[in-house]
Amino acid sequence: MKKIIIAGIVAASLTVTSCEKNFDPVLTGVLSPANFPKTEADFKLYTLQAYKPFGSKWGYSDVEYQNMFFSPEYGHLAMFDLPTDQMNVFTEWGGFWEFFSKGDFTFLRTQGKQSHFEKVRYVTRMTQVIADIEKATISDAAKNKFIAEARMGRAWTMYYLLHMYGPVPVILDAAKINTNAESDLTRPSRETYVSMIAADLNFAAENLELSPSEYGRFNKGLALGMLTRLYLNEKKWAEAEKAARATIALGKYSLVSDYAGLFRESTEVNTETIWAVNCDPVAPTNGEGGGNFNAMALYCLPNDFKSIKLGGGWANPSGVFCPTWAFYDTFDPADKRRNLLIPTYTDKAGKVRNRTNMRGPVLRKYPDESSPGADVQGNDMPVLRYADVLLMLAESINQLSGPTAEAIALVNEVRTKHGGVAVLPATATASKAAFNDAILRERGFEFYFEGVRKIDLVRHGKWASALEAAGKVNHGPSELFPLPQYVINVGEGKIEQTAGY
Amino acid sequence: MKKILLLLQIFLMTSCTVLLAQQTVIKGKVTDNTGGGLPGVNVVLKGNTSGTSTDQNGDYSLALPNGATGEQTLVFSFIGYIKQEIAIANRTVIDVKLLVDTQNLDEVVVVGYGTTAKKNLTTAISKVDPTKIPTSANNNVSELLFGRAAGLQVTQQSSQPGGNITVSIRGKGNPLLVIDGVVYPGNSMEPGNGSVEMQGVNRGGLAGLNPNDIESIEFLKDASAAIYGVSAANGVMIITTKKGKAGRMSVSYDGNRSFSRNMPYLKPLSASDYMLYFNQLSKDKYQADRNMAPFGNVPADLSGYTEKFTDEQIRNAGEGTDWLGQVLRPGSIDNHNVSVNGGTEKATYFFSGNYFNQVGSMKKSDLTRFSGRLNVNFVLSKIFRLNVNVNANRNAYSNPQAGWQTGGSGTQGFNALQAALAYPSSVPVYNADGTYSQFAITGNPVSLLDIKDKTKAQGLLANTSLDIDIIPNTLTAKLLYGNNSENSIRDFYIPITVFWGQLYKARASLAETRRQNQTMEATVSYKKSFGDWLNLDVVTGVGQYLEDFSGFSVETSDMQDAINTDNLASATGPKVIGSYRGVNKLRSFFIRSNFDFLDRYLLSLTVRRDGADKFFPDNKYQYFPSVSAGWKINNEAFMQGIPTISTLKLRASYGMTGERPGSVAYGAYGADPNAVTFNNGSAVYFPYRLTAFDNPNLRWPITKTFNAGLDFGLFKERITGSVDVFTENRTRLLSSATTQQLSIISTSPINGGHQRRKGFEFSINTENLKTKNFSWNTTLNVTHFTNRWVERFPNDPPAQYGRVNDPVGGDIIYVYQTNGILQAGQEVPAWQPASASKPGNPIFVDNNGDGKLDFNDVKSYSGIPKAIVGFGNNFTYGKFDLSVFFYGQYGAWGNDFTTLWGDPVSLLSSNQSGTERIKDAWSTSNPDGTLPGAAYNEGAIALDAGLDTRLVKRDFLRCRNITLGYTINSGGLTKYVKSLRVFADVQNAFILTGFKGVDPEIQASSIKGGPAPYPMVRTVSLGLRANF
Repeated sequence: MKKIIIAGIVAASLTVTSCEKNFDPVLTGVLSPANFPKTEADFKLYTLQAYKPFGSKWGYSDVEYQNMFFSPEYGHLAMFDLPTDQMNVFTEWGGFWEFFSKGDFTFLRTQGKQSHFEKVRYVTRMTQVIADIEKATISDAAKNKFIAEARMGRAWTMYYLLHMYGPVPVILDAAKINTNAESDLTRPSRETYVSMIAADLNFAAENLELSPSEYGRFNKGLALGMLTRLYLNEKKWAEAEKAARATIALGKYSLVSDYAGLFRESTEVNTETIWAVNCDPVAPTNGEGGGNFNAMALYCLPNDFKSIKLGGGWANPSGVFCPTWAFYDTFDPADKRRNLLIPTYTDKAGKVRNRTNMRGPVLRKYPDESSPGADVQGNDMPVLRYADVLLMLAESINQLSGPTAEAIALVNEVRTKHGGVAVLPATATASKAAFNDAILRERGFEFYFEGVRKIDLVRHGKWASALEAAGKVNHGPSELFPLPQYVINVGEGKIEQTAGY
Repeated sequence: MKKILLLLQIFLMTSCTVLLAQQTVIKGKVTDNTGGGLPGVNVVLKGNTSGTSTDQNGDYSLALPNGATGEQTLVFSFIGYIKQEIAIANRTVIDVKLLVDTQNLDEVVVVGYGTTAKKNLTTAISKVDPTKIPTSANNNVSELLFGRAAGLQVTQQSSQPGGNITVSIRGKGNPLLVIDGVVYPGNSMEPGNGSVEMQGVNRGGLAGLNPNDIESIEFLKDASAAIYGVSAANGVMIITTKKGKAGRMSVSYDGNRSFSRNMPYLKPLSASDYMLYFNQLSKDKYQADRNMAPFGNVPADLSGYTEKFTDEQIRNAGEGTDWLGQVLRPGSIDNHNVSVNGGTEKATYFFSGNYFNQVGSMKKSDLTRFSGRLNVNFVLSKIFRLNVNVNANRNAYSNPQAGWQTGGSGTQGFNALQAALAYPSSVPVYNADGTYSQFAITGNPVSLLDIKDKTKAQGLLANTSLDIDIIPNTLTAKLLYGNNSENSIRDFYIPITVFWGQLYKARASLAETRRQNQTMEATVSYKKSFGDWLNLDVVTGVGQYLEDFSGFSVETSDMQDAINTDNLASATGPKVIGSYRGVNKLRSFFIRSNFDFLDRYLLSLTVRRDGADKFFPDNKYQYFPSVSAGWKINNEAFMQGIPTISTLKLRASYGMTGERPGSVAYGAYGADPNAVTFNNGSAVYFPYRLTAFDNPNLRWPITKTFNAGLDFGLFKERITGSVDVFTENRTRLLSSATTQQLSIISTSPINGGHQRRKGFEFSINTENLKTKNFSWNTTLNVTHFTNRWVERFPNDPPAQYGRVNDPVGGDIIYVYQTNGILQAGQEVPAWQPASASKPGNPIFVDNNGDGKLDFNDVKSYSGIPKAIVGFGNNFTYGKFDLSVFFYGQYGAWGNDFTTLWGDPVSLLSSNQSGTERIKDAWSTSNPDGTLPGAAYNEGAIALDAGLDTRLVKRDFLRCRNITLGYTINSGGLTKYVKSLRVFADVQNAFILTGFKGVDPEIQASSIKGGPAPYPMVRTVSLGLRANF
């Protein structure tokens, strides 16, 4: 019996020792760092993450469910057009729509990790991607192209974060990754922060292709145009002028004569649009595996508005994005750009709707012309247009040298070509200040609902006053967003809350 | 561990040493009360430490020195039988009949890898006997457990058919589940329904197990769980199924029918009230938005305001449509069980079949289940015994249109029950032309019932074990292979005729999930009595545990309603396909030694060594030791003079357990599920990105548990009970924790943090009265525990108002206190937030009196009950039996999110009606209103903590069962039936609570619009049980 026991124990011990063998982890559905990324094809896939925030889908999962910069909700139109003098307050859905439309961002203090602030992690990620590409054994040409895409994504993200929160802590030195530097949330100075963006954009401008083979990829014009925007908003007029001229010097772009066509599917690829969110007319609105979509008809059309394809938008009695009559009335009635605002229609019940019973005109910048069946549209959303570069150049010149003939001509070129209206009256170009105001007005006519209005108002120092003039008396204490409280909590006292909150 | 092995060897060697001195040989046969030979009985000369034991036939022979046979006494002992002492009186043949120790037999407790007599238990293990609990209306074992044992926290999260019931030991979360020795997944396996943010399903695990097949359920609450090492941090729930018994075939039938009615639910506004309150509040809102008096300084001017409803409309509206009545209904259950059991000495069998059909108390919500079980035991030879258990089941659910939307969608995402609350009663069900009416952007409640949402789940649990009796009743070995495989298919379809998500569109999703759990174990156990002074029980073994899981799903749109998910290829919409697979491996070695010295001092040592494949080689393995000891005070000589105390045992245990790692220590690059597309969607890429860094230092979390207890029995066990106190430290927790704020990866598995759980529990059973015809027993158990942080994870500090040692997780609620409603003209306190300074806002309380409102004013409330109680009384009178059972909790706080239906802001969105709670909202027309009014917008204040306006106590005492039975086991009928019992049972007869939501137990999430949890039901069952 003793033998049996001992044999048993020995057998058991043997089994225990054999446990150590053949016990490798079973990992499914992922690639191992031991063999990825290695080849140029690997790095092509690896670099593509740079594009992730620059789409128009509901969002993506990273940390929590985050919105993209051009998402229908909490995207550039909600952030930079809704809280301006051009749009009505929309209370029907409550929540962030109401607060954004009122220009009160206080509620974002309690926002969780779906906050855009979490995109600081994307910045670190791009820094890692850039470092990985630099170390790779692929051709220098491929390296530069990939790095340029990563730096374009990084710079643009930092630009948007700047216009949401002011300068935010970022990691641009790969040696700091996975060290305690990742906990240092000290805000860099605005100057440092801006120069970091500029360095990325300059590299991108140098190394991105002018016309990438795939439509929708970052391109040289985008880098230069964003550099112009960056400097303009920082009031570095000379640098802005230089960047604008460099964009023009690319020789690729010119104004189209049909303003409305810029926003229609059939003419979305044209000589003027420098970069647009490329949208898929049959994109699924479920899941994340499909293309970008344009859902703006659903957000702009009133519920009872029978449109080309849609039987109405989602909201009532007006669209979520509903311009004010006051804004409508500032247009020259002959201005063709106003035609995308519909002042009267017959609703589904046959009742005539006009300004006596409408909150504001119906915003129909993106007509719903996609193939029937799709819930959403394929209209690409221009984010940077040549007209913007021209007006930015005009603004820079005016700031540096006053209303020169060149500057006035630039504004008039856009005005006459797109609006089909007469050149600016002499009063508008009489002085630097008058011309500056005229440029802001012109930008309003030209770029409404394109995600730049709030930034323009802030640059001109008119955000609060413009809102109050439009009746938005309950706007918040700052044009910037408050940092979410959880960021302050982990900030160890180093990060300061946005002024005003 | 080596020492333990050595000790084991020493004991074994000692036992093998037979006394060589000889002369007289005493022989005999030991039999049980049936006359059969009883193998393995210890036969010892009194006062000696060694002797012999009976062989396979119950025969023994014991050599004794000459002269010893005169005055000496032989002691015959065997576990489960009453010990006998017989004087030798110079006989050479002594035959003995041992009697079953009935008290002992009743109190055998299943422990990890074996059983033990309850009186010898050194740890905290609770046993629940399901045969004593009404099962008529219950399809899930969890439903039997409410309040039934000290230390259990059982909560009904959802009352839908098959609804989720969480079972936790001392509040620790899902325990490890072991069924007949096989590890079984405790959670439900519910495939999703694609991206449709409509999720009515909230089901629990154990769906495949028929409650009528269960013999016993044991809960290993303290270090007793350490023998299961890994995955045992939350304790262990061991389920033992019924086995066949040798003897005549016995057939029993158990059948019943139940009728269920919904308990009181949320009360929607009547049509006229909806109009009236809409008018009142929207006028307030109009003025408040324009800062008009009394909300601001602008003179009131209502010239631009028109009332939505005229007085005449309001007068004529009446009650309107009963929307809840359109989607709810009375329910019923048919439950039939047949079981057959019997066998011979060579083979025994138990077979059972169950049909359970529940018609839910909401339309289109059903459950049908078939399950069958076969347990067979073959005696292959003197040495080998083979056990085969097979359980097959098939559950078909029609998932309810209840609950709440899962994503960020608002009223457009409502399900039928939400829609029934959202639709104003002023809206008719159908338009004049017979089509469904439609209100705002929500689908018509009745039309939403046309959505198909079905889940079919199948499971097969099979285990085979071979018992090897190397030395009968002394040295045995067991090889076990168990396999549980399940699959579940969710079939979801929104017909084109249904308006949902603001669209009339055919939408379909078909998803399947599969999982398999394998248990492979080899154990050796050794039991031996060394005379009077030591009983030894050792078990050791090795095991490998494998789980794999996988899934597949397709989601698409635009197809023919008549075809729907039957042919997804016919859909013209984009097809979103998903799949996944995962494998986890664990390996273990374990040993347990129980020492019982002099029937007074008990010692139990266990060690388990577990390995997981997901850690780096140096950290794959972890030891989980435990020690426990008991002192049977009542067996001490000094207690013999105190007959009042029949049992008194002090016990203590300390041990370590682990948690099955959900995390992987290895770095990885994964395909981003988010496509990056160019060329307007024709060039599609899935970027690859780093999803995890290598984390070689990651290791097992360790939970250290201490428990001390006292078992007592008074007046010949008429009063029995236990008291336990415990402290548990969870250290180096392994969790996917927030990383540093600028890290690439937002959460990463990390060992960190430290939580401490403390508490006590108490249980008592009393036989209050016992006469020839009448008996009355009472049982009561009380559980109390707290669970606090000791140290937090790095990068996850408590919020400003929190403290480091606050209760863990969702068990704590932080709120700003309010005190009444700000009236028009009332002075606004200086600390009132600016956006809450208009009349109708709640008045904030400046708790610390510093004149400002900030995090220092936040108060915290615990979500953990101060006491969890189970309380039952059983009466028998002649052939009648009556039992009344209550369970409840006291001292827990919670947020009642069904109050969202009473928010003026939601009503005024014009997208939904509300509940009668609206009537208590403050308005200029109702200045006595106690709830915030139209000018109040919680989101606008943007406080770092919530308000106490939804905070409620979740105290309750629920009468779970009242059961009355009548048993016939004599008279003429017994010619046909051995026994017959007819009974009536009321489940959830009533509840005593101050809670005003749907139910204090049931979950209701904070969601845009408001949640509509499945209503709680009261069920009356009539049934009979016949044994043939």
